[in-house]
Amino acid sequence: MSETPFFFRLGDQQLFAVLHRPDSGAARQGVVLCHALAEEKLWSHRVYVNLARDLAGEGISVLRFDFRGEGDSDLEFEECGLQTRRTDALRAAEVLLEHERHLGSCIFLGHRLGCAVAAIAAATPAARAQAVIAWDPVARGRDYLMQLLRSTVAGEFARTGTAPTRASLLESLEAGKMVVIDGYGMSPQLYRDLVQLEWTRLVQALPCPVLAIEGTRDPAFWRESKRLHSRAPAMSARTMEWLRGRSP
Amino acid sequence: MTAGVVTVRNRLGHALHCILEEPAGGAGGTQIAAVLLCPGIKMRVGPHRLYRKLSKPFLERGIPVMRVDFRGLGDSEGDWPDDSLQQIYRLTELGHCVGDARSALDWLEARFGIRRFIVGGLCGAAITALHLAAEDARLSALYAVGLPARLDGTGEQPCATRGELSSQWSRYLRKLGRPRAWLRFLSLQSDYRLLWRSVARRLGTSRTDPATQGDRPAPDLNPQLPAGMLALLQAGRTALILFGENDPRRWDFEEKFLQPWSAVLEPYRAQIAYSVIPGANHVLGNPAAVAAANRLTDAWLEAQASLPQIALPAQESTPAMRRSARGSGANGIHPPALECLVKPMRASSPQDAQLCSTTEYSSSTRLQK
Repeated sequence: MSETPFFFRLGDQQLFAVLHRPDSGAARQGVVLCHALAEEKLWSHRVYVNLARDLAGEGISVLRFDFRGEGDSDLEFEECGLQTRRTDALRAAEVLLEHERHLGSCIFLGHRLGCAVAAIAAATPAARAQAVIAWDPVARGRDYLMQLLRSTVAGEFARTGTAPTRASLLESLEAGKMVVIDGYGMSPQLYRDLVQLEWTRLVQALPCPVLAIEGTRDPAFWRESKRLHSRAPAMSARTMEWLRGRSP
Repeated sequence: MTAGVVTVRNRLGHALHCILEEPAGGAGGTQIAAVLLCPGIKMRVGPHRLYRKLSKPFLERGIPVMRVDFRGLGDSEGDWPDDSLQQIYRLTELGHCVGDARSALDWLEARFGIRRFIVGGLCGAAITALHLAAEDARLSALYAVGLPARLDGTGEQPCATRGELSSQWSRYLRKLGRPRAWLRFLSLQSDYRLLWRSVARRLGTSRTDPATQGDRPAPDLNPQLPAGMLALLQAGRTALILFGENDPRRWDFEEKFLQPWSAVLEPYRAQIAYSVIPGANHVLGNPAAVAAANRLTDAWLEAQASLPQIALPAQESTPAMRRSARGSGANGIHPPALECLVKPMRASSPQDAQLCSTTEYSSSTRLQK
């Protein structure tokens, strides 16, 4: 298989991506990988790399990319919300299909909050989504947000013995102020996006088949990243099996 | 400024996918570059994209910045012999990735003819740079944030430092009124060993220095730290060493290395710029900490007269910053928070008290806690 890292453009900005392609013959399917949020993405990154390599080994092209505001892509984290991520995912799908012109459609594979992005993107008619695969989707954005805030408060308290309360952080977000979580600036827009997010509602709006592999819920995922790393081979195998069943 | 993907082949043949950020004029024609190494498992961008933020003062001075993923991490090829987190940390501290760092320097030299490098980054990146310093003269300066002095996985119980125990004691006091803290204590979830050592230290019943075990070096001190640092300094090279105030690694560094080695380090005092950023954690996880780190870096770069080809444009934003030895006090006003931090540190020798140099600020630019 081959791996090509590159930047692709979206307006004035550039997004980092890696295209994994099978060695021989034309790819039989294409997958766009939508990563998790912030530190969850970093802790999980090697799982994505291994998954993409496994899929390429099975004859599937995979485009991994960094949403704007994350990884090596442009913009600051606080400038981005779910809508920018949706736009990024749709553009990534275009880029994948530009490289694999014989494929008329692609599959969106998300992890954690990336599942919501995958679903929102796939629900867009222009996305030409063949299916959505969700690894540990965030069920309710509000609960996820509370986990993030709880983790921030607990971490700060453990380090310094003092910390703001979750209520005060929520008040700040409600008042339209940015709150820094693990070094990432959460904007009021992302806060509003998260509060409204319901995975089941997103799934109901999807016009394509969905495979959801659920697991980690609480505590906040990146504190338990070893669980993903140990579960990843099984999740990868399940994903592969499902994709084989959908192969043209 | 532009960012591009660079694929470096290490000596084992693995493709290491790196990002090269070039200043406005491009990387061609520059004679020095900054190389930020993978800090641990969080790949070339660092936690909360820290490396993108820390690149700013270098780029603004016309210095290209390469962010490097080691083999088996980030997007790069290869695997680790043991991919448990603790082993990745331990192997990094032992110099597992130094060859990959050298390959990045080789690439920059071959592509742009650059032969001088500022190398480092956060945590594991900094210790890898010290390994490199011992064997590669192209490393002109060390750039270290949260440099770990401890070697993980020695089989020894980590040696708590005075600073750590003192900090723990303060935290315990603050937690006394918290029912949840009592619940943890009574449900056997607390670290009783640390609690006891903290109390013993406070009551004065601890007979030996916790970090150095009396006259002996701390058993969990990474031997590469003194070896690499001395190799760096003896060759006339310089180091910028930054820590967050709330980073426990700071106490490891000060009590297990800086103080015990103070007499040896004394001749090289002027080559070390050492600063503690008030209110910051290990990963500089708030915007003020990053801004402070960048101001310190910028001032340090300006002071590197020995590094030619660093463009020194007029720095309107930092006119009042300058470096001087800690304790001199004559060239500037110490930030109150730094004074507050250094006073409780008991110096093990008169030289030790003067060893740490720090960036000082005029009253108009002092760090805000």
